[in-house]
Amino acid sequence: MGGFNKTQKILESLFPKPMPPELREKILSTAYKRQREFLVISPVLRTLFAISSVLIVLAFFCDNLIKNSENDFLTSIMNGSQVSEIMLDKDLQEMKDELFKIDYDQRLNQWVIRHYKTKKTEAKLTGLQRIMDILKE
Amino acid sequence: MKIEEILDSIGDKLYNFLTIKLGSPLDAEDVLQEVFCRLVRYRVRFRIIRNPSAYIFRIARNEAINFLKHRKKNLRSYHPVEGLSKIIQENLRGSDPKVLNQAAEALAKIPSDQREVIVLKFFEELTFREISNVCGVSIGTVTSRYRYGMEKLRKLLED
Repeated sequence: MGGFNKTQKILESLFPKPMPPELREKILSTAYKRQREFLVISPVLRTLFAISSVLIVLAFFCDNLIKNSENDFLTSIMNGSQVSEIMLDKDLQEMKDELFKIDYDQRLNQWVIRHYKTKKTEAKLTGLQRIMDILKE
Repeated sequence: MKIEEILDSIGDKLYNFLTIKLGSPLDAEDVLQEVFCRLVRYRVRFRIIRNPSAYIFRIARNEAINFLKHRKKNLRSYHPVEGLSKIIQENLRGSDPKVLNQAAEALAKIPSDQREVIVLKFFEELTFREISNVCGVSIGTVTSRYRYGMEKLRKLLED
């Protein structure tokens, strides 16, 4: 490319003219107009999306809270810590009806194993004798 | 980088490149508008481009080629490039009008792919690597086009 010095100098002495002054505004206005046409999400839609996503997060959070409290309640019932006298009586009556069909020893064992495994529950019961009385009726 | 900044930094060069490529300032205006419409639509992708200048020149070149293809399809409205040397002369400025006239005439006579490389190299100040990205060819092809184009220009300017 060494033999092009003169040609290079000629070309380097030339410069592009600036574009017409009104063309800048024309290009920008057309570009922004086209941009608005191709906007997939309008500002209103964007706000709605933001609000709905916040609501979804809140609903998810509340659902978790409710589930946790239900779980706690059920666990406490299973552990026997929230068993009231009325609930116990009702439960016993239901169990009595259900277990009436099978053998006496077997149903007592099943009942004790299923519901009152822990020592805590056993301690809370006023007495095993009371259960036996109900079941005998 | 905002669209106004891009237009201010390389708008003149793009307009110049498109005018010589298309042989018509009016067509260059239309294509340049289309280029910037594309840029605002793809602005997210544009942010991650390493060399925005070469990328925009490539878009401009593709748009110009599409424009020419479309124009050739509609033969009724197609007018072959006439007076390209006059358009090049009007689009450039230089201290010596005689030299400007000679250079414009010589540039109009060389093949379009060689003229494209020379215009991008001298007037738009792109490197060979950038030109190869813009034209979608290898650097070897770009340098050979440049060499052949310069050789023809030299002969034409000497005559």
